Amino acid sequence: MENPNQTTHINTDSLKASDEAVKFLLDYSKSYSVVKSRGLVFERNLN
Amino acid sequence: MELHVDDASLIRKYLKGDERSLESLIDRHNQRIFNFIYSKVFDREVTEDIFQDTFIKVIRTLKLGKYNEEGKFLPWVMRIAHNLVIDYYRKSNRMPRYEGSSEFHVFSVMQDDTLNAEKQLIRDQISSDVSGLVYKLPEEQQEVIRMRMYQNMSFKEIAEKTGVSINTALGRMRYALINLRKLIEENQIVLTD
Repeated sequence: MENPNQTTHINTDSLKASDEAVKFLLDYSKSYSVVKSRGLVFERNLN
Repeated sequence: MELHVDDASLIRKYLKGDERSLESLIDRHNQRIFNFIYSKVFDREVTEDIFQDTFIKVIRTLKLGKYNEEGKFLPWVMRIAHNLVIDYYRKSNRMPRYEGSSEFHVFSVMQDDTLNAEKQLIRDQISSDVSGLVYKLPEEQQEVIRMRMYQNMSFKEIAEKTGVSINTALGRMRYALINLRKLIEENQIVLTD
């Protein structure tokens, strides 16, 4: 039977996004741009 | 001495083309946002995916010039993360399951859960509002709230992890709840569904 007093221990120190995930976001940001032309908005992603 | 640059200034610099400002923003809020998502999905890989999706949305919204919540960057990002968590659960439960009994009961796969969904949305909104308020508390009170409410740790474990006595941990929890109540009143958040 499940113990109602059982607790889950999580080491919060290591709980953060990985360096790879952050690098992906920074690369995405650099490659992503918005172009406005004749009242239209275009999103552009250059890889 | 390192000067503290607020989120709004970093956003302005980022929109002027300073990509390092985005790195500072992600770095500053990485742990809080990651923990927030993890506390809902309890899976590191899913958390990482949702974290990335959250910031992709942040980047797009900022560059499209649609961000208008100056000074409230973190609660805004938390709301995006929260909505993506809801999307994740919706997608995982979208397919009806057929258990393989000899009789097929159409009502076992067709049910009107509109009311439940609405209630859940309201609960999620309340949870999101309260999560946003938690970050206004002093650091040691945030910590005890996070460990107790989101990570389900006992006060003994909290005391051990934070290096204080159980009484101190209990006291911090007490003041955290008192302060949260004040913040809820000040922000006029309704806690009933």
